[in-house]
Amino acid sequence: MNFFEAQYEAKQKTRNLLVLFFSSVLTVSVLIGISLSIYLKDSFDTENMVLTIFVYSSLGSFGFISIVSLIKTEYLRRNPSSIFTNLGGIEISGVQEDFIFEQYLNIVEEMSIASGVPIPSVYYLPESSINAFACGFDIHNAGICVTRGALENLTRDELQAVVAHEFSHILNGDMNLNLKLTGTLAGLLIIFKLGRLLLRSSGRRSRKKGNGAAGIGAIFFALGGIGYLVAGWLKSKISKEREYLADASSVQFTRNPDSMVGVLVKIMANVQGSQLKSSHVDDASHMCISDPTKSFFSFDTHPATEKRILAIKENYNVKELTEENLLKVRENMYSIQRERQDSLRKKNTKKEEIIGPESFKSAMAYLGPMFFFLNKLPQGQVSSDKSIADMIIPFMQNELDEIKNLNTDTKIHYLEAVVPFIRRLDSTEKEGIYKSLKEEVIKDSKIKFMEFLILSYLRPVLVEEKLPIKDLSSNEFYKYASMLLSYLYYEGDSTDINFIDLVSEEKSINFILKSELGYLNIMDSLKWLRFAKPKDKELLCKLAKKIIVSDSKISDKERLIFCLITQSIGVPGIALKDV
Amino acid sequence: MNTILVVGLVFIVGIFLFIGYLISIYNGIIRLANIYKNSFSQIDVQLQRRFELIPNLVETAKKYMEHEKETLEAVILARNQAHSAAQALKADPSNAGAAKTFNKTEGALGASMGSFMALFENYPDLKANENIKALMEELTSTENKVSFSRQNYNDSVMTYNIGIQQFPQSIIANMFQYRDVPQLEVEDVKMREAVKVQF
Repeated sequence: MNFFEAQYEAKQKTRNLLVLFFSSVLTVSVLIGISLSIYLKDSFDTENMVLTIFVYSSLGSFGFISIVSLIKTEYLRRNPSSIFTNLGGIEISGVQEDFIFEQYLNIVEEMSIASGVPIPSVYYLPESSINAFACGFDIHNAGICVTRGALENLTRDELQAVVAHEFSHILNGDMNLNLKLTGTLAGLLIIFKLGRLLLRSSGRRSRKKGNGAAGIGAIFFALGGIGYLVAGWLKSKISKEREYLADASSVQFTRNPDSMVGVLVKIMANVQGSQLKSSHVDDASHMCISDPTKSFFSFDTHPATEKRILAIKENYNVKELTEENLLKVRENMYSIQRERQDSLRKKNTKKEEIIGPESFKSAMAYLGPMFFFLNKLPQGQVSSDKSIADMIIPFMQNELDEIKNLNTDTKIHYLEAVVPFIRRLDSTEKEGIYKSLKEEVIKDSKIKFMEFLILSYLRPVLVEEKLPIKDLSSNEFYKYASMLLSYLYYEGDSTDINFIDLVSEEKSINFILKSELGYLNIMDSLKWLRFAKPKDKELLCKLAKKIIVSDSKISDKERLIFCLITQSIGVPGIALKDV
Repeated sequence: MNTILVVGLVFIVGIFLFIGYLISIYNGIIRLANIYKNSFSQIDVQLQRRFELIPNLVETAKKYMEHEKETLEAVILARNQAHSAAQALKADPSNAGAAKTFNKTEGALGASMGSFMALFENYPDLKANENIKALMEELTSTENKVSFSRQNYNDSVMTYNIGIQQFPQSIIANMFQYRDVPQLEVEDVKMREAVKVQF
């Protein structure tokens, strides 16, 4: 398969289908307007009145559908991670004893590198069917989940294909797309239900008189129902295109079409297929690798498995997928499963000498450089957690000089590389690291701005705290931006230019006196500015740059500060010169 | 009079729209360039990670493979050579000689890692060993990460190249001196194959 071509095609088709989808909603609204004005024509004589009814009822129903869809979307958006826990998913983090999980985590890291998406949270679902799903509205807050059956029955390469497929769903923003479609469908469904309600209540009240409510009810009932069916059908077509897109991206990331085909064949061969038991499965079905439900009366979210295989390998002989051959695949799967379970059992009975958790060591290897941002090595007696410092120092001794000489860009990438390794530690270890970092920062009784920025950059990873997902209002944005920029102004090398002159184009940014600013304010502002609107973030970056370059020279330190700010507010990868 | 005003207004609006369009094209090119530059540093990070990991892995393997000292020493030697070549290249990226040495030592390291992994085929008992299995997994994953980071770089370079070759992006790209970027090539395809581990 030519996967770039296939991706382009799938994206193009999605676009066309989306146009159809939203025009069908529009059509339903207009049709409701037309039928209502025809139906009520007799009650009102003037032509003008009929036109008014048409306009108002069309706009009204369109607005109604929009409002319902917004409410529904907002409701679903508020609980994104709840999808996993509702299904019964269990988060995997920290050092894994179990080989299968260790491998799974490694594969997730590999695919994060191949796709350029940051490492998501990793879950697994204790069910024996082969399936996987992803969730997340932006690539920085995503999650990925694989069933136990997939972990046990698939080879390493095949598991890689599954994970790559899910990464594609995250990268292409399929969750957001689906959310909007589901919301709109809910709007149509409510019109349909409203019609049914009107029909029933008026029918019960008076069967003889064909009163107004029954007619209006019938219009809502029919048009809402038809609209719901058509839009639902289009939604399923869109969902199928996204599956083709994800399959093509999976091949792009792994460069291995055979493994994706292998997964699909195994799903066909598996007794439980890809079905999931949970009742909450509908919410996630479009983000699965294969359909988790098996019902007659709903629109499929996935194309037929044979079609997907053919899309990946044109010359695959689908006729070979007979019962007999699938049985062979099944037997093969059982042997892999037995082997994996055997190795688990052996591990439980025989305690072997432990090498030492490699991932913890490498986490430390990455954590080491971090201390060099602070330009001091942690001393064993100072650190609250001796074991961490003890582990870093011998491990890093050889690399000390090299790391000191790294250029700023590489330093920043080291910092980025720290994050996935820290995620894998368990919460007590994370707390220990945060504590010792904090002590390191406040040790010499004065907190440097740079140290503080690094600390607040790592804080969300090290300290688990749930933040509500919300958009920052402009007032709040200006409040936090004023704090951050004022501080930046103080910390920069002294310039003759007045702060107010620097930000003159933005009247709402105020200058805040140093005595009113604390580090906690900065931490707060960095925390909340992540939720600012993209445009506001761009503005903030521009103003920050203006302040940094106001003395007409850019030092390495200033580049680093800028990078840390952009990273912390969630717009990574912007260099100072690009703003 | 009125017509002139309308035509003039339409003209001005048209110019504004056109300028906006040009700006959006320019921003698109910058975005693509940033993505590929960013993915280049990822390769660096992964190579560094591999350099740090190899001595540990060899140390662990030594316990089980006393007789294979030669291969193990070859891996360490290749690792050290590749490491210093990488340092030399980092110090002076424009040096063509350093780049060549880097590619060569990288290739040698890959090849010796390949024979290191092939060693395990000689020890069927070892393959079932939990520690060795974890070790093999770590090796596979490390090699994968290195090659995936190269692949990601090549993919983003390709997207960037296509992006600036298309009309009308090509005009803007030419104006601001954005040129095609060559993809990274692995010197010997067979060498890449050798590194692949079969379970």
